[in-house]
Amino acid sequence: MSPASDVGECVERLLRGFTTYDRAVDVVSAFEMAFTTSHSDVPGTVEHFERFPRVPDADGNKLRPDFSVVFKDGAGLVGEIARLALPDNSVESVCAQIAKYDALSVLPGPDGLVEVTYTDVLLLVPQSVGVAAVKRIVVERYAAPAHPYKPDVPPCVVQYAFDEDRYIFQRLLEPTNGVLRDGDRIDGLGRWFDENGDFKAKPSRFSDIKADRAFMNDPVDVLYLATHLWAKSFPTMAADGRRPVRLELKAADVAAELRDKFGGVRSRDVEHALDLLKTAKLAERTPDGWVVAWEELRVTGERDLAHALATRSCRPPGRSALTKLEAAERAAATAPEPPPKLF
Amino acid sequence: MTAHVDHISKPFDAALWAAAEEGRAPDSLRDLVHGPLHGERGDQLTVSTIIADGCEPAERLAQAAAGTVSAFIWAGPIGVLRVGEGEDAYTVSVWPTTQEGVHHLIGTVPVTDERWRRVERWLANSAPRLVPFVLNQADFEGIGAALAEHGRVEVSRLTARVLRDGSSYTRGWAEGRRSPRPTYSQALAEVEDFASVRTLTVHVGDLLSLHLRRQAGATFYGGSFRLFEDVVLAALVGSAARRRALLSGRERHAHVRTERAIAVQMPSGIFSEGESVSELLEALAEQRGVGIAVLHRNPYLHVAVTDYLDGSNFDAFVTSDDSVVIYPGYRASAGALTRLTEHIAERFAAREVADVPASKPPTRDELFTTG
Repeated sequence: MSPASDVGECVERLLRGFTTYDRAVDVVSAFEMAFTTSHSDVPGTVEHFERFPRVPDADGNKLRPDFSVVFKDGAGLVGEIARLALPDNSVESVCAQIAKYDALSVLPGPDGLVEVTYTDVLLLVPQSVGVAAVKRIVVERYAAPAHPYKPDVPPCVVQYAFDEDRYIFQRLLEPTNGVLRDGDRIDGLGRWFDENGDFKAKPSRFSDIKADRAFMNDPVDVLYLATHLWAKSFPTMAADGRRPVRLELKAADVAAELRDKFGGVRSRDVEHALDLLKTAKLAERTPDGWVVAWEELRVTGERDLAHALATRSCRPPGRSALTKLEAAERAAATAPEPPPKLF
Repeated sequence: MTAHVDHISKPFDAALWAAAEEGRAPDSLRDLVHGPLHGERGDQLTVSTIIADGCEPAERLAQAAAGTVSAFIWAGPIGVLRVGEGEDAYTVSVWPTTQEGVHHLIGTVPVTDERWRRVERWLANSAPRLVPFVLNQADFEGIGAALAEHGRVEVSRLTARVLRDGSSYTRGWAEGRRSPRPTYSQALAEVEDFASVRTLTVHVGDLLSLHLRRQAGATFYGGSFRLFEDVVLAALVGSAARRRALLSGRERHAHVRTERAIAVQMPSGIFSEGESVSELLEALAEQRGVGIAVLHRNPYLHVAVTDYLDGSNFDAFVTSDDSVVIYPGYRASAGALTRLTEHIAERFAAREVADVPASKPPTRDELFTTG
């Protein structure tokens, strides 16, 4: 990424992506809570909830819905968060994507892919586009005889919003909107929406899940991952000692560790985040991978690390942190050994 | 480096330094106090109880104080730092306790004196290896109850933090036959609706006078040192040991779902205003070597906290108006966690630092109504 001429716009764009991704992490975490830990009868009906599904379609292409559920009765469900823009090509793209989900006959189970009798599609959209989404996708495409989008059943379009102190998930009441089929299960989200119209989730209900998982199945937002690396991964690697500290790493290794600890992160995501740190003059490519000069990052007037990284990548300083690191290493190498005892 | 005993004017300091110079440990803190503290005006023994994480606390403190301390020697297991020269010299000593990782910092300078403030700065610069902690409200109340078994416990002075705006509140009671001073529990009850008590000056009949502090510590003014040691110092040590156990070994492990979290529990409503969340963020970031990354700001707070000194990292959430819930990361030292919780507790007048379930799943009815 090259520095933008308009620093403010550049910072704003990065922070917008960061916030959008964080909201998506929240939404997936809320559904993980509903399906796995809520004190309802639903978790008892679930064979496996997968937060980072990778599923082959009929052509062998890997699909990555935002989450999937296999129920004990053999049925399946996939959830997809659509950040829908309303031009036709955006809607067509979403329809093409979720049509593939509707056709899935296998989903991740506890020990690999398992066959499912059917796959319901739960389409989650921000409240700001909820009504438009159900109109454009379900009414104007699924229900229109001439349109090629013809899944077995219509997707269940649910809008979400943050209302006061909780997320609210509301099935849109358009008659042709899809329903989640609960079958003979003792309880299910289909029944929740049918009975109550919505369900709510306070952040305190899923904060443990968010802290445990950290990411969701989309490519990780570049600033979100750079912030995670700087605030959590690099300090875990660095432990205590001199600052700045040299960290030599490979993107693939970092991604593998993140996948092991949290799930879902790709090497490409890490490369992009390290590229942002490179633009911010905090990291450099080497023949073997990357080198990072890690220390507490201070940007005048800004305490939040995400803002600081965004600002620094949009308006890089003149001097690289690696230059400072090398100077510190040279000084340490030439300094006399300290006396073993003070007194 | 040595110093002559007769250059230290305070008897306690002189006796301790003499023992140290002879390379022997005093028989006990009690023996050392009984001789040199005569109950004269200005005689007092200041104690701060601290938690150590993976270091020798006296050496660490001496390093932090290297520019100021004129000598450091061992009196058996007690590390003694001598500050200054001649008549103005004083000692700060580090005493092990019955509990591993729990130590007392002891001196004869008043806790409000600049000379003890200096000790607190050394301590701050020794973080996160050495950290003070804040007593839970229950522990603070328990000390009063334990002292009450030995006589009427009266309070002559109270300082507190007003919950609404964080301002200071001070109240004093003169000794009078017609209107006796409030008891310990009466003094606490007097302010509980609007303020959090930080310090109390306490008198146990004619037996004992002391100053007790929520940031774990006490000052012995006079009377029975045995009672001070057996009740007050023992309570401080017990509380520190429980806190150390609570905050040790909390780092996350791959493939292990987090079952428990740590909550800093405040009086109800403290985070009901958006400004107080801003104050929390400022408080977190103002610590030496601590940085924050705000993942979600409004209306709930999710912030990643990084201790750049030892690499510890945490997720902190504010999802209610009365608590900060902390999920430790893959590196989370007891020292860094103690420093983080202590700082929040001190700044926001917390009631307790407690182990809580990591998850609060809702019922079906809650999902349909409140969330």
